[in-house]
Parts: sequence; C-alpha cells; structure tokens
Amino acid sequence: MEIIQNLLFGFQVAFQPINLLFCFIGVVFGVFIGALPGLGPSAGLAILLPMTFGMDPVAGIIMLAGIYYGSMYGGSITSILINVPGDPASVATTLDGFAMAKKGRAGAALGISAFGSFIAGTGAVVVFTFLAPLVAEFALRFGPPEYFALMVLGLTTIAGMTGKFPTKGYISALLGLFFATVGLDLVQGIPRFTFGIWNLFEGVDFIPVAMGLFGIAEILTSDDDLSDLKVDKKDVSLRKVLPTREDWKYSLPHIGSGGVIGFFVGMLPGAGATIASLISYGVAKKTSPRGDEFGTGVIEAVAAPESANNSASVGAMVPMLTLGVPGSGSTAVMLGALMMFGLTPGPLLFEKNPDFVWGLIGSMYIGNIMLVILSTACIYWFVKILRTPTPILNAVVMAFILIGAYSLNNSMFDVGLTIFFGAIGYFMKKLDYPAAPMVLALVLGTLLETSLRQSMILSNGSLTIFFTRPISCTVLVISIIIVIWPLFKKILPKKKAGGLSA
Amino acid sequence: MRKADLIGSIVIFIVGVAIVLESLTFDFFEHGAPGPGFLPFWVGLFLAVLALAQIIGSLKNKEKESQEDNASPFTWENFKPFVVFLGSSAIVVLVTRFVGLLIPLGLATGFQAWYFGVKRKRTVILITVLTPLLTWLVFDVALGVPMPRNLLGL
Repeated sequence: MEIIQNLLFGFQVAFQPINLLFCFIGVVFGVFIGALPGLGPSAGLAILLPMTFGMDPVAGIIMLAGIYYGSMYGGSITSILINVPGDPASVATTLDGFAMAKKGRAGAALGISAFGSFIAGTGAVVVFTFLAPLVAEFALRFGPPEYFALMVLGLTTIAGMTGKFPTKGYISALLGLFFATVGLDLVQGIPRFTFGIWNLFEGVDFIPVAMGLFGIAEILTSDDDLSDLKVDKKDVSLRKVLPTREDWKYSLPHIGSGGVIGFFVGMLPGAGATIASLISYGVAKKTSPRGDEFGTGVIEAVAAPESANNSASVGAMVPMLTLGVPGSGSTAVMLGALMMFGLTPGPLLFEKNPDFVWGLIGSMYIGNIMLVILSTACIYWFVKILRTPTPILNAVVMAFILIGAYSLNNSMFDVGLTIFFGAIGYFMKKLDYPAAPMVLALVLGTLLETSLRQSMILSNGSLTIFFTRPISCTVLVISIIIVIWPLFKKILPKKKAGGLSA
Repeated sequence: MRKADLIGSIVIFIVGVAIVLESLTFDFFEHGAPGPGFLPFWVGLFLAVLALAQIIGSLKNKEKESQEDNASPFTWENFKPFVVFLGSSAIVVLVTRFVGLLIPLGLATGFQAWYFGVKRKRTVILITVLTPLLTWLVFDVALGVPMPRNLLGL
C-alpha cells in the first residue's frame, strides 16, 4: 500500500510540466543517439550530461533516464532499415529485422520493436516499482565490507565480460582505479599523482573521462554514414507500423519472456542489455514454433531482443539506485550524474529523496508511453533527420562535447582533459580495450577506497573482515570465481588433451 | 595488430611500474588502516603483472599469427580523424585565452566538416556560424554558463 502511495506521489512529480518536457527531450535525444551507429547510450549520456548542469536533480535524472531507454529503442531503427546496429544491444535485431525490411515489412518490424519495448519496458518498471524498495531496505544492513565486496563484484564482472579479452577489461578497470586515486588523499590530505597541477587536486572528474572515452573516441573511429539511409514513407505509415493480429499472436509470448530475461540480466553487473538481447533471441529461437525460420525475417525474432534490451535498461537501474553500484558504462555515467547533483545513491536515497526516486519511477511509465507514440507516429521524420551527413554530425557533436566539458567547472583545463581522454579512448578502441570498466572504476574508485579503509579500521587492519561476514564473503568469492574462471577454462582443455594423448 | 598490442602492453607495463614506484613515496599503512599508498600500490602492481602477461602472450603467439593479424590498426587513413579532430580541438584550447571560445570553436567545426567531406561552401559557412550560435544559446543563455570571451566580448 505504501508503495502505491509513493508511486502516486511519483506521478505527481513526473507530471509537473517541466519534468514532462525533460522526459520528452530525453526520449527524443535517446532515440536519435541510439539510432546513430557508434553512439550508444553511454556516449549519448556522457555527451548530453552537461545539459543537466544547474538543472533541478529530478528533471535532470528524468532526462537522463529518457535518453537511456530511448536509445535502447533507437538502436533498432538502423538495425532494421540498413542492417547496421545503432548500438551493440541491437545486434540481435539486425538478424531478422533487416530481413523483414527486405521483404517490405520494415514498418511491422519497427512497430513490433516499439510495442515490444513499450510492453516489456513498462512491465519492467512495474517490477522495479515493487522490487527496488525491498532491495533498498535489505541493503540498509550493509556495512563498508559489503559495499567494498559489491564494488569489487561490479568491477570484476564488467571488466571480465565486456570486450573480447578479459585481461584488457581488467587493465581498463585498473587504469580507472588509478585515475580515481589522483588528487588529494581523503585522510592525509596529501596530493597523489597530481604532478604539481593544482587543477588535479580535486581529482579527475568522471565527466571529461566519459565524454572523452565514449564520445570523442566514437567520433574518431566512426566510419558509418547514414546519408544513404532511405525509406519509403508508405512503408512506415501508421497502418504499416501497427502490428497485425497474427504478428501479435507470434510476438506476445516472446515480448513477455524477453522482458523477464532482460530485467533480471540487466540487474546483473556487467551483463547488460547486449547479453540480455542475445539470450532472449536464443530463447525465442528455441521456444518459437517457427524457430527454424529465424534469420529469414520472422517478427518474434525482432520482438524478443528489442523487449529484452529495453527491459534491461530498467533492470540496470535497480543496483544503481538501491546499492549505489552501477553495472554498466551507462549506469556508471548516471551514477556520476547523481553524485554531481549532490545526491548519494544507495538505500538511503529512497528515504532521504523520495521525490527524486519516485519521480524518476513515475517518469519511466510516462516516458515509455511517449516512446511508443513517437516511434510509431514519427518514425519517418526520425529517419529523415538521421540522414544528416556524418562529417557534419561528428563536427557538431565534437563542438558540443568541448563546450560541455568547459561548462563542468567553467574551465578550459577540463576541455584539455576531455581531449586527452579522447586520445586515450581512441587507442583503447583501436587496441580492443573496453572503455566501460575504466569509467565504472573511476566512478566507484573513491567509494571503494573509502569502504576498504573503513572496513580495515573496523577490523584493526585485518583483511579477514571481508571473509567473516556472510554477504561480503559470498560476493567476494563470486568475484574471485569470475576472475579465475577464464583461466580454468584455458587450462582445463589443455590438461584434458594432455591426458588423452598420454 | 600484434605489434601494436605489444607496444600498448609495454606502455601499460611502464605505467604500472611508475605507479608502484610513486606509491612507495606515500604511507602504505597508518594506524591499522590502508594509507594513501595502499590502493595505488596494488593497482600499479596488478597493472604491471597483467601487462607483462600480455607481453609474454603476444611474444609466444608470434608464429601463430597471420599477416592479417599483424596488420597495424593505425594506418594514416584511419589516423586522420585523430589528427584533425584532436589537433583542431587542441588549437581551440590554446587560443581561447586570446580570442574567446566561440569563434575558434565555430572555425574548428567548419574546418572539420569541410575536411571530412562537406564541400558545399554554403553548408560549411552555415555550420561555422550556427554551431557556436546554438551552443551559446544552450549553454550561455539557457544554462547560464559564462563563456570565455575575447577583448571584443565575443
């Protein structure tokens, strides 16, 4: 009952005209960003984050959340129309979405993608509404050792699971932790790794890092041009976009399963929307009566991954808001934004800032409705704007990033820092080092060091505290397994082969 | 790629060792709790170890890799955006103190768009003028971020 009351309060907050406006802006920007190949939700959030400076925190987070789930849908547009996924979470959509477009059913694919996203996204928000307060209540029992363990888990999973090579993921996370140690030490107040540059005394802000690694690096390595993107207005007319009764019959069960898979996989640190959409596609292929036809353009093969990736974006907010531990690059940027707004993410957020949390939850219901209306009625206009030539788009986005970096502290030093991290991001991308672990480690670094110190003060300098408390012990053991499992996988086949040959 | 990977790993190894050495100048432990040198020490150490593992792996796989695997990801063609975007942006940072931010930003945007394929003069001029104007409206006017200005107030 209390949850319902809170939700009604959340709707009151979300329905304020200014919040509705920023929710709408967020969803529109999100769809564009998701549709632009290369610019995924993390880059979009990082680039547009400066627009929230000075904003009311509720309006700011509502806009950022709109960008996040809007971009999840946006990725499907180019996946379906030109076989180029807007972001990695839409890769599974290309498999059948483009095949449907070639059969003249682009409208139906885009339509089911929008409705699937809406149904699964809204379902996920309902689960989020009831689950998040419970997780937050449970997390109130957590002390520094549990938080330390959770942050280690978040870092190890994201480092081990993003990118092609786990070692490179761990290196990226370690570099992020290093950047987090730059600045004045919290206890002794002595500068660490500042090289006499006073601008670094307050540490490396995550915003120039995120804008450089996600935004600039994407511009420097993008080679997709959407100026050839063409679509017949008739193919995406409202009549064509609305799914038929048969489409619904095939898709609905997979929207449901995709939504459930997406939400729970999205909650896991490191897993995220890409894995959720791929698992959901695989499950749909196995359970659909038309499983053999997957890849030839069947509608449930579009519905399942699209539902999953939208639902995952909601699921990912559960650990971010309730524990203060994000599980992906995008939620790391959002967590950083919360801190920038002066809020402390974690279980107390629900008690101390109910307007913020419940306003956000309320806005997600409204945002999903906006998304389905926009994506069914305005798809033709989205496509038209997406045809802006890449050189223009890149140059303008670059200018926006530089100004955004400046506006952080009204300092050109931050602009230089953003360019520096853009250069690092370029090399990381070229050498297959994932950027998300670095950003996540940077955001969590200070908290991780603080909880490590607090834990060891509690235990008089003994590390055993992490293994004598059940929650921190379990979480740390899982983290250790995640780190050493790939090594075992490498060693075991060799041993088996050696055993056989002997 | 192997050679680029190898060079990258060597750089990271050096960075790791440097972090370890610098962290030794701070207290490792104080009053039973980790001091300012504790976390950087372990971070640097793990970085160096992982980079070393990559270096060894890369050298061990030398024979196995095909010519294609060994191709450099840094050809001039794909290095061009790096030089043009970051070079012109760095110039913007350097000259802002003298000429303000908006004018060099507009010029850099126009130049970048022109260099990467926008050849119509009118479009380039429009981008050069509209980008700073739009960013000024969003950041300076709407969000109240004071832009660095030149002597003419621009």
